[in-house]
Amino acid sequence: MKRRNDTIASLNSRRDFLKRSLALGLIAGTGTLFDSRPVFAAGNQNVTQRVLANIFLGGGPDLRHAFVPPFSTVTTSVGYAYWKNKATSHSIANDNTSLNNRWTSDFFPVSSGSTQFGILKRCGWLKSMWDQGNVAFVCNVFGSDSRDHDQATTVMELGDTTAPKSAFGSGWGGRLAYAARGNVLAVSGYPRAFSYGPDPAAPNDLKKNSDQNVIIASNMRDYGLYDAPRGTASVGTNQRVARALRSYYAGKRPTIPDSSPYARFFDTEEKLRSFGDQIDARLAAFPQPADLQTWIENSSYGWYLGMQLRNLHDALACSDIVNLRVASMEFNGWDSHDNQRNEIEGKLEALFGDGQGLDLLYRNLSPSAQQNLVFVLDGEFGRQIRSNGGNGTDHGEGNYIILIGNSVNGGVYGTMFPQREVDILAQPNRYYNPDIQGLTAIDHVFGRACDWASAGSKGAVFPQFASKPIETGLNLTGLLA
Amino acid sequence: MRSRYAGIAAGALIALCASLPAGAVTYEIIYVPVTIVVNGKPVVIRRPVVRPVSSSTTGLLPGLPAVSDATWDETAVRKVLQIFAYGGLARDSQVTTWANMKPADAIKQMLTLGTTNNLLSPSEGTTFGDGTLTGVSAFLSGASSPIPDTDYRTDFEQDAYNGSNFTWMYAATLRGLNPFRQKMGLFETNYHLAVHRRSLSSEQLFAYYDRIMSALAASSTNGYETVMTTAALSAAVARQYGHDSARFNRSTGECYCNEDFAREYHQLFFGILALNETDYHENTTIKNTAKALTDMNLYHPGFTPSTDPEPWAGQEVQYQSDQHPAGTLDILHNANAGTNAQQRFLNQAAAQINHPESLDTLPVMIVEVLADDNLSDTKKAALRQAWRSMARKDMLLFLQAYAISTLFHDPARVKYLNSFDRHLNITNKTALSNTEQYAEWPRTRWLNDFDQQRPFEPMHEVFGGQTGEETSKSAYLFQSNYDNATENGGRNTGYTLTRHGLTLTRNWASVVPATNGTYPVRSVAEWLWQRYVSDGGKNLGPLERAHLYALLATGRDLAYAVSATDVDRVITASDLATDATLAAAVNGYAASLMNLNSAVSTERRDANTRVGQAINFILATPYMLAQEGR
Repeated sequence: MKRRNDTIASLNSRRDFLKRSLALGLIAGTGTLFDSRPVFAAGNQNVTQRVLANIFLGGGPDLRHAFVPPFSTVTTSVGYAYWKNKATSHSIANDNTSLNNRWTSDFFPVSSGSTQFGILKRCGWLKSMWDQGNVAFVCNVFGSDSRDHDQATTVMELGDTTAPKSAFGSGWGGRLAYAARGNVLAVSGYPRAFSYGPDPAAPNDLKKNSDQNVIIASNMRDYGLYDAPRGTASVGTNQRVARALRSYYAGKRPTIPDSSPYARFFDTEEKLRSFGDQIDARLAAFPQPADLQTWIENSSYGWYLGMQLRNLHDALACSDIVNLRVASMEFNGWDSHDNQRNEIEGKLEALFGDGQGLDLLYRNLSPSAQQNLVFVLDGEFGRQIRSNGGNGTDHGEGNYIILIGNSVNGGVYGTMFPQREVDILAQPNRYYNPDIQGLTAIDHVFGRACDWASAGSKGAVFPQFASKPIETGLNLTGLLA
Repeated sequence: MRSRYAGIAAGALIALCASLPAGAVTYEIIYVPVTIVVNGKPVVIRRPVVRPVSSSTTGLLPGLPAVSDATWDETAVRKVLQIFAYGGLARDSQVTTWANMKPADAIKQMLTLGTTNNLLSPSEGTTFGDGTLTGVSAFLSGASSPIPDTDYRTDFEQDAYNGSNFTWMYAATLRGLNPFRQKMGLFETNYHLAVHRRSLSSEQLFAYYDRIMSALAASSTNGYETVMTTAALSAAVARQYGHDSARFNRSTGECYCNEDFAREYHQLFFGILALNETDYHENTTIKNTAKALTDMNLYHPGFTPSTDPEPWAGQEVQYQSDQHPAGTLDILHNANAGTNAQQRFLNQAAAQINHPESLDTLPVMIVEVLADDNLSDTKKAALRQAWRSMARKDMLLFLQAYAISTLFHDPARVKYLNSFDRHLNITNKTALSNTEQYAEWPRTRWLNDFDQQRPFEPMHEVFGGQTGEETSKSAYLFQSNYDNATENGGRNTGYTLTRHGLTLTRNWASVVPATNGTYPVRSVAEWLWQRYVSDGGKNLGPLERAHLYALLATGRDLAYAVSATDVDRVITASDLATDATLAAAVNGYAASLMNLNSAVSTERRDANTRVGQAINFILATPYMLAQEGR
């Protein structure tokens, strides 16, 4: 099934998006958002603090589809087992010639140490970043052994492998921002559970959360509430109402206790009104990147992914104003039960392709922004390593976590293609659910990224990491510089 | 309605109460609406009546005690309508009547599942076909449509881009239909048993909605599980999840199927995760459920699957056996028997609805989605008790019991309104006739245009639509609501409108109650607040009143009304209490009279515009975005 669909993705037409883009989301909570510092020079983001950008690939992405073992005719090899069992989800005939053609035609052969693998050619930008040593694949990572979208998503969002489906609490992005004394920018619009930080009154209680460090930004370039001009008595009918409301909210807000269910609306009104002016002033000096804007307008995924990337570009330009430490993004639709190749390769290209989403963002980032930004990409679970009857794959467990950035020490971390998979694929019961075994808990991978973003934060964000499993021999100390 | 409206006879009645024999029975004064003729015009007055107050809090179901008669008042009725029926379209006199009834009796009139409910939504004389979504679509797009603009009519056609969208929104807001039915329809087809329009043909979608609603209406007799079975066996769900092409090879035992709906049938439809036996669930239940979902062949009426040129778009399903497993299938430890998918799912339903996880999950899920974002463990336990008490799960009875219960009317209850709730409540409170709807004066479509929400396009796809919590945390949607009440406020301040071939004039005097033939600002403000916010005036404090009085009395914002030289002044409740000049001005505004019934056209126009300004002010306050219990 299709995983939850972001509002932006659910838009049926660009006309709709344009209407939506008339306004934007902004801030939840009452965080320390206004950190006034000198304004940057126009056109050059001056990013002085490290920023972790999490892109959640909702639906359970089959990343093994894009990063594959080389085809081999040796029947006991992983390259044979993989391709024979995934032929239909690659939409190819299950014979050696077709499998080999697919491998040689559509994948870049690369290696890391003794591991040989291929990168889907539609992921050209990722390949170039790999060549520069800026991409890491951490293998066999798991959050939940549940194959339920909602529960597995909750686990990944909260960064708590023990969380039940209905869990409520702080997200690991929010906890990181709290530890770093900064904010999470939810550039996708609705804030993901990942974004909410701990309750300041009980920061170690994972079951409580707060929105005080969350900034909701579905369009950084259109902020603010309708208002009447200041100092002008005679205004129109609607502006009189607007002026009445401005006065009302300002007069009423101090009397609203935090415990009131209406407090969030008073907070939002205040932030929308006052915060927009600073953002507008800053972005006036930062024109929209023309190539990214063109992609937004023309790519199938531009309006969904591209707007988030543009928001991130703008947020980096305003990183001092918004005290940016964590960015929350999402790119859903990876639940490829059928027609997997058609379902996900376009998305892979939109993310990782030459001249596509991340490439276009990266081109428009200053050296300081590139140096201080790391992307962490994950989904709620991996998928089974044998295709199903619909040319797709069903829910599995372990998956790759991908880290991208100038500060990443590129390479493969963990065993990319364990022999276990060859063994289980050889079992005769075709109804057995073969998947990637989860060996390394998310705590270790995300925790290492947190330590990079804010030194010493791992223990605060993932307090149980020491007791969580990690693949034998895996050392993530050098994952990030 | 109770003592705050006590009139001239109240003193005498109180004396009468005091003279009644002491004992277990207590009495209260209620005010029953009665129409009398004054100067040749009908006027509704409230006649005081003494009645015994029931001390019984017996509810309709165990675990859900009903509120007392004292709590069951007009505000309680309006809160139920706001949450369960987009505010409803009942007249004020009907609300009063319900408030004066026993809650268990009133709720059975308020919440019904038929296509019409003439008390909740009085007919204007129009019959909308058979009242189903298909029927309403056909009527509004057909030759007898009351919409004069034929181009606009076509938007309601089943095949039109907005056919399901517009038809549903109108069905929920037109007088003569049943907004509670549509609210439940949205819940079932967009949240609980969600499908997405994008994946379906229009005939599949309309059939899905109407058949789900038919099953729901009959579920008091047949059991709620029949609703899930209807959905599970539908063409819409088969297309949504892709098992319309699933086949089982009896010769090889291979299943060319997927586990998508096989998993969600248990998880989404019944709330069963089977976390205590994951291996069994994954390797037996889900695998076998996938097998049970094979050989379902779609077609259109008048065809067969083999003769239909576009069977994939058909709303009918032929359940066949040739490519379906034989024998029993172990599903949730139930030996599921059947020779085709239909038989299997009919046979499976009882095991599903009575599964312990389902018994725990469903009642909580239903109430969380519909009515309470702040459910405590105690309340969850009460809901489960009520649900379990029904040998046959009766969704309507459960909701009726909950709606009059102390749980719903508990002060700790909070429900953040999603975009559907926000927009449709506004429409139902603002449109004074169906004609205004046909002319799009309430601009219901702003639900689509600004909030980007459409029925049958659930935001989280099969996981359901936008939630109230999400809506409340979206600054974008806050801004959308705010700007619609200010920048786009003309929809409510406009006096006349010509659109879609209809010309309308606003006339709030037709519904605002007069006081001795006049419209004091204070009364109008209180009536508007209760109409839109429905909190019994709990949040209508001095500051809200001052702003509303100024707008209604002068058409100016408070600061401007007080002084043209300090229009950006922030006025606080403290100012109102300590600034005598300011307080005097506000009191003057409150006591002034509105010209809603003036013989002078321009005066009526100005008065109606001011009402529109006051409405816009109310709409942009936080109190329109969430509902608390009492």
